[in-house]
Amino acid sequence: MEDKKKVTILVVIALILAITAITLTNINSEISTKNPNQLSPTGAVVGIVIEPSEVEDKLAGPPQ
Amino acid sequence: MKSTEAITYASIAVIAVSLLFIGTELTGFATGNDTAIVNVTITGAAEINFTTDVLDFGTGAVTPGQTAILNSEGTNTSWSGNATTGELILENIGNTNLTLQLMTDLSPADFLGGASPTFQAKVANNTGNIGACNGTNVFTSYANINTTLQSACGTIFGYESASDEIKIDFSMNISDDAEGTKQVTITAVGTYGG
Repeated sequence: MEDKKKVTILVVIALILAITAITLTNINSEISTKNPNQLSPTGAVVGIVIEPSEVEDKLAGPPQ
Repeated sequence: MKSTEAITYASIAVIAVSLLFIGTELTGFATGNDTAIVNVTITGAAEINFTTDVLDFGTGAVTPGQTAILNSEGTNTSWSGNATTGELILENIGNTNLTLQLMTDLSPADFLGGASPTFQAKVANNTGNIGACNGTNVFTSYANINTTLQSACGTIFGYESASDEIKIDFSMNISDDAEGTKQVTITAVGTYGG
């Protein structure tokens, strides 16, 4: 009975360590798709206001 | 071999392998005198900043039947508004050489609208900043800028204070059927160390 108790404790410890090892390995194995040396983009703005063009009056004759 | 023994050996093996993955190290108490070395490491800091981050071409209308040609160096052909002189200024404010790429958030059609619009950029060393921009530069003269990153300073965008600024001028063609308030964002991406 005493032996079985020791073996059970050993198995529990083994399981805990195995799960910890697998978890840590998975965390470290994530591969980033971003260039680690690339800076965060910075931005600036170019703006313009375009008013409607005047309509050509092609019906109007030359000044009298 | 009894099953209990087999389980015991298996557990010990699992523990050993797990510790190998997690990592183990020996520790101990240091005794006696020893010399030491103090090192100071200055960490590289990489950063860019638009010190002039707005370029406003103002308000105007396209001459009917014409295509307006505007640039930020004073050209305003077939445009009723004032000529624009100015540019965006980008500075490498870190202590590391970079490479630089540029892009917009809109295509010329989405930015300006109308028939066959164009939007172009030109990248050069800012006044007094000789050698700031080196290597492949798609924008040596006015060239189309779009929503894909394009190389502006392909080898080095320098950080030395005497040569760490570039200027970006813009040119655009606007047809007489375009109208409205238009705005486009210019994005600069710096990369260091290779």
